Amino acid sequence: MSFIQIDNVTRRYDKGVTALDRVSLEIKQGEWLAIMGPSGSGKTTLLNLLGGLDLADEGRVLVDGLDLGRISRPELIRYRRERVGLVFQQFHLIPYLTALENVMLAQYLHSITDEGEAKQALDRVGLGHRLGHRPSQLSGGERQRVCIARALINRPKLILADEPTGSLDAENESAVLDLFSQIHEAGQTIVMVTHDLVVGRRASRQIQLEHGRVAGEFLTVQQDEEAIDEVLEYLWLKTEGDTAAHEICAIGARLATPQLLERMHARGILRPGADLEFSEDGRQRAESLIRRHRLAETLFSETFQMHEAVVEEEACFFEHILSPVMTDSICGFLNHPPACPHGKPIPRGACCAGGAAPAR
Amino acid sequence: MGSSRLPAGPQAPAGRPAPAGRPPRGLQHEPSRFLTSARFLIRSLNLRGAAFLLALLAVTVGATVTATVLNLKAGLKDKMSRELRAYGPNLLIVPRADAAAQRAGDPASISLLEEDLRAVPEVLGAPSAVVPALIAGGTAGGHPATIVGADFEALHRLYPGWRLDPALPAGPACILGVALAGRASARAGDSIEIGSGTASAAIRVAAVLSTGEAEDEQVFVPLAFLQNLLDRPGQVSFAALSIDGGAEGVARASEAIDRALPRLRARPLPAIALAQGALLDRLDRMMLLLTLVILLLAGLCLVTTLMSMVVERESEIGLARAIGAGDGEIFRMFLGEIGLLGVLGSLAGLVLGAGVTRLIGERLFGAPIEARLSVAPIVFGLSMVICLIAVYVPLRRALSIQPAAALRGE
Repeated sequence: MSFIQIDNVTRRYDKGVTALDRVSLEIKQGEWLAIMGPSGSGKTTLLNLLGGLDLADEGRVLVDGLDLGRISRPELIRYRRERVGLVFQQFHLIPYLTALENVMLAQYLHSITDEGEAKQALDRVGLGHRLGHRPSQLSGGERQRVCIARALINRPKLILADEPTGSLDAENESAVLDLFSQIHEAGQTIVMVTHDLVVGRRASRQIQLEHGRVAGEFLTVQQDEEAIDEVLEYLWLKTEGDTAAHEICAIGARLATPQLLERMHARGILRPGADLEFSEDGRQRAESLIRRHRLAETLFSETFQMHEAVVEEEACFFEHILSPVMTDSICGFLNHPPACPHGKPIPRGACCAGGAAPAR
Repeated sequence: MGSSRLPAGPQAPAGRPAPAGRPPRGLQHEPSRFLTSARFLIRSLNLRGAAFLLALLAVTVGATVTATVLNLKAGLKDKMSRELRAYGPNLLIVPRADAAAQRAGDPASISLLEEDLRAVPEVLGAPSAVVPALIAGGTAGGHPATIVGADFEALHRLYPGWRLDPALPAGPACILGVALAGRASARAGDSIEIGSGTASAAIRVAAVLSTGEAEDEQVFVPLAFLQNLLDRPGQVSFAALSIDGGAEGVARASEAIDRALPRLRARPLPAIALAQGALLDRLDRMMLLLTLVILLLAGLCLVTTLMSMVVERESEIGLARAIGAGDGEIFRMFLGEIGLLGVLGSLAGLVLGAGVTRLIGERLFGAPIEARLSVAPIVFGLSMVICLIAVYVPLRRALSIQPAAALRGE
């Protein structure tokens, strides 16, 4: 039996708004699920139902054997107190309590306070030196880490996070997501709401909600290939010495997390032992990718005269679907161009060996 | 930051440690929980000092007025009773007819013996001034007059409002009513002939008395002087007393005398006793009403302040709810704050009330009215009751807060 089982759950709000419409879902113990979707798709409603903060109008929400819609109010309070840890986008720290006391508050509501244990929890999230600071004296990332320490202090079975990086800058986002990765690796079940693809890719599974329904479900492993391509493009630009690589390949830069880079090392895409250096396989894959992308850019820009913004978007799409034959055909059609419209060199393909076009 | 490592989590799929959860709460943890509650409460007050002080001010005002009124209620009764003694005695002690008749053998000359009155203060349980008096018809300076024999100092205590010219006589002398003095053309320092039946004696006029009442036609002589003149040593016609406590006090004293002293009969003077009682009752009611109004206003102010504190803390309460606070925790959170308000407000009110009581005593009666310790538990209890009533509506609102809605900021 799954750790969490959601059967045909519907939740309607006043004025007839249906936030969730017959949603069914199963989550295994130790899984990290990202619930994705646009604003108003029902992500937070689903999270509230899992946290016992709200009740479904129809259907059943089973968590660790507890039917949240059928248990008594005291049992529901006990469920929230003992089995769930909550992390919020807006942190929701008590403003007059210090970081340490905010963690102790969760202990207090659970059972007894243990200052030493609370200090250790903050130390583990890297805030051992900020124990006596109030939320107003902490940065956004630090506040979120206090929130995570508070969520973990009672050793709950389930961590629910609602846009935990939504209010953070890139650096803090990465740090907080690293913490979630560590928690997940330690066996914690995590359900995280996010509308950010990059954040969602850190989870082991993603579901897409649209208009209160599950519109799609993906295993992150399947998305790894796309993510690796994005990182390879970013690294290629860096090897070309492009100082704007971070801006041009923003997604690739964000996806270059230690976890993904580790997987790329393991698959031989990056050279073992080196920091961010392509292996031969990796170089060929990156070269092919850049070639497809820049050929597509050239085709759409020079032949079809498309607008620059559309060119970039379409090139990003076509770089993943162009077959080698089609790529060589385009290259031949364009007379083996040496550079894209931005002046960046287009890697040569097998088709170019016979007749390289003169520089344009 | 990224280098920090979290320990093994609570549960895991294959091969990972399972979550143990923290140990459940037990009764042995209550002292520790109490200390933590106090810590959170103090932190909370640091942030919400202004609102808390406003609420504290409301409780303090209510407690101050209550303490003042209760202190005054006790102290003022004494002061007012003393003031009301200016009206004269409100209880007479006369001989019981049968006993006196048996002793004297002559119903016409029914009188008391001074020794019969000695037990009266002890019976009343208070050092009440008993003023024995002997009354006889006669003449003063040849003019018909009522002659009253009494101890002048005791008489003046019984009638503190008497205006004497020049002053209370020290030696053997008499006090003439102003009307009688006019008819007899006598002035202070003159000698006047006092006669009753066949006996007469001259005495110096020490002072002239003006009351606008029957006393203006009377002559007051020392008790012993009249007893000698009439040859009735040790005998008096009646004894007059002024009893504190209004009509109820007089009735109680009257019953006590009748029960304990069979040869005497207590006769309340209802007009004066009732007037005193009614005045004190009106004063009591007015102060009670004033207290109720002030307490009501303080309570309303407290409700408003506490309600604004709840609204301000909705997100905080929603969070507490979300991470596992039950009704009990929310209730205790408010109870802690309201309890502190009640205790601090009561203490401040008792101190301020004692000062105000003292001030009122000095300004109105020329002598301070001291605060009474017995008032403290009543003020404390009333303050706590007001606080608990005032917190009811805000607490209901706090308990109805839905965590999801509060965290959304709705």
